Amino acid sequence: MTPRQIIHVDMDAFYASVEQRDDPALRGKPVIVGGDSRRGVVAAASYEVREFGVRSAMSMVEAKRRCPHAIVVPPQMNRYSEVSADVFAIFRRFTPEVEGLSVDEAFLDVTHSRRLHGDAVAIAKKIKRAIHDELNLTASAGVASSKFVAKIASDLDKPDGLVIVAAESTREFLAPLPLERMWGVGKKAAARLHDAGFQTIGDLAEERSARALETLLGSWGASVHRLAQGIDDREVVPHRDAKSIGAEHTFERDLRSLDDLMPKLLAQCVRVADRLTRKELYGTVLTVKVKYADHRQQTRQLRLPQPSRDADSLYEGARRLIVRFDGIARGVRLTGISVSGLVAEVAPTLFPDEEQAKRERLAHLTVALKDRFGGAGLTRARLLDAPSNDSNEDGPNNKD
Amino acid sequence: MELTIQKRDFLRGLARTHAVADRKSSMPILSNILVSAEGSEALRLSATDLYLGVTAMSPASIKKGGSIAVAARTLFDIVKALPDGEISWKVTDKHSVAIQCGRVKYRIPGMPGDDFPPLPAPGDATFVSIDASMLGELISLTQYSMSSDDTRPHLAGTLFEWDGKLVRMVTTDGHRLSKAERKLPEGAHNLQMLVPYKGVTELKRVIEDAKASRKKSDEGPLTVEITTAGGNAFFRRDDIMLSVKLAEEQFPPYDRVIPKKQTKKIVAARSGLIEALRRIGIVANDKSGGVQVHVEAGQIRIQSQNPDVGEGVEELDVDYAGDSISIGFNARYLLDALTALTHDEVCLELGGEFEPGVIRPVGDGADFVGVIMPMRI
Repeated sequence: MTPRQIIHVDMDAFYASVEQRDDPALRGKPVIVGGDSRRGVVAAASYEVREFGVRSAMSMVEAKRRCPHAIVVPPQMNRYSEVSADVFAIFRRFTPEVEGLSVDEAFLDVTHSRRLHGDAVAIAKKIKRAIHDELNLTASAGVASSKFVAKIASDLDKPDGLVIVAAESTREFLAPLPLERMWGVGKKAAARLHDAGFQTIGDLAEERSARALETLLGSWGASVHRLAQGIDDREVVPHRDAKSIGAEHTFERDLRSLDDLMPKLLAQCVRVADRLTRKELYGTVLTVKVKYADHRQQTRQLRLPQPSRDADSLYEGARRLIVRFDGIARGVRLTGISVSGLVAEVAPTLFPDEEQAKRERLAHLTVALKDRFGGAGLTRARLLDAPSNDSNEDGPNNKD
Repeated sequence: MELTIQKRDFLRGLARTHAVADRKSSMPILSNILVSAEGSEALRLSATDLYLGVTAMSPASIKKGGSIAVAARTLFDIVKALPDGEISWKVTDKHSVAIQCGRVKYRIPGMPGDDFPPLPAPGDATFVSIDASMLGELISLTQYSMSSDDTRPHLAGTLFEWDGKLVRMVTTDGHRLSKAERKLPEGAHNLQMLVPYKGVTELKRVIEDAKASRKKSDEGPLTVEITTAGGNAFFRRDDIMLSVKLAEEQFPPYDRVIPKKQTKKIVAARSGLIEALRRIGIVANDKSGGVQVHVEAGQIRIQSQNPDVGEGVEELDVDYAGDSISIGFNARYLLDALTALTHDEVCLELGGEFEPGVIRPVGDGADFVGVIMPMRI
């Protein structure tokens, strides 16, 4: 059997690059995308700012300490989603087997695309060129015979890199790499492995039995053992449907009353509703998440009376749920709204709710206007007097 | 308060009432059952969640009157576990009760009976008798399409209409609707009420309990007495009375959505249709549960494709000579209506692809209509 040909493409400093591309004033400058508040985190760092040690997921306070002259830009998730769609459209020219991991990276299985587009290396080059020529952005790609190796490879020569690992030299390629390079090996697991004398992926591969790794890492040890030897037969799974759509806020300072929380929840409902409307989906289950000042987290959920995508229906549900949280008076640092049980269509009902139909039409219109004139162009009066520097984050499941 | 009571009698009264007590209420007393002496020969057991109230009378030998509220579940479990025989019950002070049966002794805490919220009373409203089995049948025919969604109280119940000699129940959850009617040989009356779903479930239990405890020697039809007063409905049977706070919301105008002029009428064996829907439902779309129904002269074809699970198709012979049509339905909705019926044959009435489908029984007692919204497949 001929080995599979997998490409992992990862956009370089995606959010920051989009910002620099769209705003000439940012080019060549240290740019941080993220919430510019006490509690903001770095969502993306341009290569210029990375030289100062700024990394994504770092706290904004720390980032600014390392690079005080960095330019902080608030994230525009809608914009990145649009550009992401363009990037994925390029991927799909070469194969339908595209598995998105997030807005800015994907696996492509091009095993069956050779006749049309050439081998994986040729396709990776074409993709990189198309991203550069058409979108004025750069991507790094890894080409290998498995997802695991392709992912490691794409990361080795960033930015604008292309690393090719032939199937037969997979083990030699992996052997010298520090084991932290392995996908899924975090700090804790790495520390445990170092303590046991493992430093490189090669060390792991040479371990005679998987048992030793299982003792260190639990049942996952066996797969780490296989991966270290370059054995990974996981398939590229095209098109993962989003399971839920959510939005959350970390507040500038802890909020202690429903009066303060409700406008935040409303704003989150509006954002979730906008995204449902854009994706033409309806949610059936609503979840409200609250993180208290002490970082304790609680969630409450309910089934919506009918599948909904308008903010008012979500907000009505959120109002019913928020009273079921017990520790609000002690301070809330974050709230989040998400909907799951997504459906593309609502079964028609015998007694159509005219009001909801109207609200959905209005939602379509406002989303269209927001997309045209930007998010701040159109908002609810209730949200006008609540300026905030809260850091907005879209939930982890939002990317697709 | 001091009395003796047979375990059997006590347990029966508790079995009928304890489930209504609301253990999750923010009012702790509602998780209790109110035990009160009624005259010298009866013990009254009452429980309520403020929407439903149920009272059962059990024969007892009262030595000293009074009342006390005790934890419903605990009391039920204790009495259930006691050996058969006579139980003695003695409230030693206002806050605890001593229970003894043979060599078993319990002492459980209670609350003063006066603290228990008063249950609604029918006052001097006149009760009307109605055939209990008929009431039970109407509930069975319509319960499947009743919504249990508290956020939509106008749907979360059964519309009960007594219209002259016609007794009718209608339920809908917005996607399907059922209406069942029975004509009474006598006893014209007028009454209209929307009974919340918990009340309907409890009423069904009362009827089943009455059927089960009926002795062979009992003659005449089994009846339940009904009245309304002060926004509550009261259902009374022998020594048990159920009160239900009626929904104030307006039930939707159901008659408007029952199609009257369906052009395509397909007569099929009910059991065959049920089996086919169950078989093909296995490969129905997970989320929507939808199956396709193709009808042509003499035949109905039920099929479904689900990319994740597979596809299936089944053909059935039917009595039909009209134009062909394809329509999508949630298989479960069709099944619910079909399994509520007991007739051998049913008629599926269709209009267009996007118009609701109707299921009616064929033959005697054909006084049922099930309406089901189609879905796009």
